[in-house]
Amino acid sequence: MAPRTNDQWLADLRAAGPEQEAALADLRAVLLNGLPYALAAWLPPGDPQFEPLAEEVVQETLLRVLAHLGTFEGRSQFTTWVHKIAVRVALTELRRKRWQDVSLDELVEGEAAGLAKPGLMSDPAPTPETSAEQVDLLQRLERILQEELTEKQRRAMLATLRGMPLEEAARRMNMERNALYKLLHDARLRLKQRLSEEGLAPEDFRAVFESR
Amino acid sequence: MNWLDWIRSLFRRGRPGSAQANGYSPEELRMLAQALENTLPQEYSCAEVYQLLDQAAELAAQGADISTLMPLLHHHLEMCHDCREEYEALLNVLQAGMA
Repeated sequence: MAPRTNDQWLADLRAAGPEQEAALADLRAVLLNGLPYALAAWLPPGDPQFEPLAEEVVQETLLRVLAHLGTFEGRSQFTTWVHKIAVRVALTELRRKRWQDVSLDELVEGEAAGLAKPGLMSDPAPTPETSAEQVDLLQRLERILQEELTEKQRRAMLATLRGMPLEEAARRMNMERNALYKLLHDARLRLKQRLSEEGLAPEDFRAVFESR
Repeated sequence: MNWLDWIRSLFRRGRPGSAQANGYSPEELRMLAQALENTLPQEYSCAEVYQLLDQAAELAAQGADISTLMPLLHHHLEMCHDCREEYEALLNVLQAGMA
């Protein structure tokens, strides 16, 4: 495959006929070469699911590239931009499959994930002074969380703390991932502000939990 | 009730049917406290990061320090696991010389 500049990629993909077909075939090869590296942490190339996924990702990516050529701003190599789209397509699909059997309600309303973890509550008893301080901090944090977070924020916060990808939580809440990040950012800002008003800093709580 | 039992009772409030369903575990509260500590008044959104992700990955693949060059993007990657996964996947492709 002859290397193309960004402008050549754009020109060939916008052309009709053999130029576009050749560019699409080359782009397909670029994507298939990159996907094993992109998905190295998710799915090994030898996995029987890899090839069907790669084929699906390539097709969807090429469609998106053709549909959004006008949005490429030239801030990177064209092929890097295309790989970025493929990564989004692939990880969206992998997250969806990985979490398809997990209900947001069960995840959020179920037993707190850390309760059964050893070590958190089984450490040697702290001094009475320490325990009183810990209890006071926990009680205040509990109250602040109840008072400051909306129900939507509480559910989103718990879902992400329990490992659900933002994208999957957003899908279940009928939101865009971007909007959910903003919702959580607003929640974090509100909590931080309230802690500050009460003369507390997040470090105070982190220190308590890390000392366990 | 001793103090340990009392703390445990706090964390059990999140069970289904509970009137006060906060339900955070100690580890979750630690993670939340860490996130609050790192929260900035202005943060990039996922969409803003996505716009710059290819540029950032190329810079990083060339050895640049994006925490210095693109601090808000770097901060978002520290806060958003989804975006960080996508950044790392893209960086893997570039570092393998496949772009």
